Amino acid sequence: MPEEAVHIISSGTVRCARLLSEDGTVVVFKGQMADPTTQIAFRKIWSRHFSLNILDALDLDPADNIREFLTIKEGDFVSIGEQIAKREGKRKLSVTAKASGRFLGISANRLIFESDPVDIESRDAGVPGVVTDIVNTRGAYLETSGSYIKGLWGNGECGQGILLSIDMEKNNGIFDLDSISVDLAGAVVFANTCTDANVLKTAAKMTPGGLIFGSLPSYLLPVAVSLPFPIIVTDWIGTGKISNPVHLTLGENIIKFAYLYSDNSALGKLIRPEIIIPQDEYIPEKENPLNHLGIGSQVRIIEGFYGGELGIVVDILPGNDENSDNTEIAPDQVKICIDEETYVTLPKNNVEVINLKS
Amino acid sequence: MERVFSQITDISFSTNVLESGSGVQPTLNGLMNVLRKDLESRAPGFRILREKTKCSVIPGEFAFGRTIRLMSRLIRQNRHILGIDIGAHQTILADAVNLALSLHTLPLGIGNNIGNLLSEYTPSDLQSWISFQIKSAEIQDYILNKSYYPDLIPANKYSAEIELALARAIVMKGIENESLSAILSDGSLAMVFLSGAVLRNVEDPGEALLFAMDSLAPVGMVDYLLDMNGLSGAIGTLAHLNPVLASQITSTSAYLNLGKVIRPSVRSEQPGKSIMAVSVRDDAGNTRKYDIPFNRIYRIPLEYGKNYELEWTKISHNVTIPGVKTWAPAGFKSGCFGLVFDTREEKDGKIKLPKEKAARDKKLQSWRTELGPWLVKQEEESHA
Repeated sequence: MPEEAVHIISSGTVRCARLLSEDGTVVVFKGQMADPTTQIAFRKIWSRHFSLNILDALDLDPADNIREFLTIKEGDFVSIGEQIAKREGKRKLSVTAKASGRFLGISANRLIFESDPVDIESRDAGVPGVVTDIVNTRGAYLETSGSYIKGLWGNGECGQGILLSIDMEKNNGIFDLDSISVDLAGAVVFANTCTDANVLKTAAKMTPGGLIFGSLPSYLLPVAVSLPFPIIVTDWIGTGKISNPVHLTLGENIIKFAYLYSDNSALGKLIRPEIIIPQDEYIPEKENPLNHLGIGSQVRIIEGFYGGELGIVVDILPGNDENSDNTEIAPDQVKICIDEETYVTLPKNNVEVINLKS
Repeated sequence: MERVFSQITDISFSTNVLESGSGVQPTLNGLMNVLRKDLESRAPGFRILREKTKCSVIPGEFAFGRTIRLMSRLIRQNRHILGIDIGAHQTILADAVNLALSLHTLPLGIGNNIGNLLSEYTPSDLQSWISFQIKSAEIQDYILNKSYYPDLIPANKYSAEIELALARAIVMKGIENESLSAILSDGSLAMVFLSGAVLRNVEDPGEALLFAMDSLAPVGMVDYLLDMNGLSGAIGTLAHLNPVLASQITSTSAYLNLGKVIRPSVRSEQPGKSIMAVSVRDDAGNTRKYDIPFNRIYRIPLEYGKNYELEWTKISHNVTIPGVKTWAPAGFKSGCFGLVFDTREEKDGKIKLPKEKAARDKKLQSWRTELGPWLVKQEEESHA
């Protein structure tokens, strides 16, 4: 499949794809403002399957249609203790779930469940922007205004910082020990290349926001992968200069905030890393006055069994703090309605407000 | 179970291969259906195309296999044909004899999957078939760049040589993995069919011939064909709909006949010493005699497409040519490289290369010179 044609946008509308390599769950809406940390989509695999016999518990005959006694539908998530089947009549009987899981269906008069989800792939926004398009079960497209470079290779890390350059006139623009100073801390720095593994390791001590190289020899790639900050190669594996269009685009954005996005979680599929430099200053969504959490707010559950589910806040339950008389400290909690029958109560910090841009 | 799983995935049914007498064909057809459904779900255009043309969609591997299977009917009975298709994602090795096909795919290619080579070989191993000075790190750089830019076409002779060296490594790995070495050593191989962009886009077809001679080194008398126009996949697909037409195309000069290569099995001999003498007679009755030396590539240039007769006049006692009736003359139609004798030394069924890099580079260059370019003028022929 041919690569997308646009690899460099010096200034204009930037459109980034955040798609899973295979079908999964998309957790954003069209029009939603996304932070760099906003999860766009995830893919889980259910690692355990088990079956449940309800004939004995409900005192049913094998010839009975057990579907008539179920209180859950195929595809429903079931929590521990939740009722899954009941029998009315003189002798009322019910069956409750002994473990959390998803109800798949009925086979040979037994209920089939799957449980123990394991995360296998996740896509985060990596850049502030607006969700403009949703790709069903795969992810979404984000848009922002600014500059964009699609690189060649990334070490799988994401990060951001003020964009700086090393002195390209000195030592052929090679990133060496002389290039490492306190200015590197928290900054994204670009250079032609780097030829020494020790230089990369030393740079890590300054906790940079990221490094951008025009080229990098293949023998340094394993070192780059082991480092905790993002490293992106824009042009070529080997040693050489950064290409002119990349140099110009980065040069025009010196001291602006740059976002480096690199994701290698899709095994066997090449995802090109991206450098995005938004035109406008970014205000975190949590500080956005529009994002006030109140009754009626639409929220996304960040993690846990219902992680990724969307719901509406129906109640806010104040917790207590250190000054209260209670011995246990309880945080503020919110009661969320996921659907007509599903309500969950969670700490306020475990949800995020979904802000839809009009 | 069908009801439960049909809610989460598509289900296709096929005959149980373990049932006696069922054969593998229904299962293969079932598998092709699954692959077609998967393709059409990812690219719905294929479904529209199939419905409008009322044609079947089959995977490229099957199409290539069909071509080789069909060609096995055009050669002598009980002789093998080996098809090699080096693609971007994978390499296909198809061995057919008497219409029985054995298809092997190797997840190594000269495109997106070229990076897998680094998990099979160290870069220094891959240096063996490169005849110029290059660092192993530079080979690693080349492989990675090619995996990120799979459409790159070698733009100079150095890049082309690196790619052909990598292709040699892939084919050698395939032969080793799929246990095909038996047909290369017992003289039952009659034809080698070469396909893939890396072999098609060479500056001179001799590069493709040398690639095959180096990586396979089959003993006996073997014809080499090159798919210069990338037709093998299309002909294999066509064979499903119109086998007669596919057969007619195959028997024309749709594929480039590179020539006949004779590789004897020599127990021990001094390099350069004559190990056999042959005479070649053309249609007009002109006969020429040649002494074939040991440990080199000896080419007898002949006119392309003309009929010749080869006669064995003398063979040393320590030389055998498996699968060849040396007591009788052999008639053949010349390919573009004429008749080639490959008497190079071997070790464990592979062409023996000098260990030292400088000597190895010299040897590789001399072999290329010995084979020569595709077009050789008749005047040069007399000096060969």
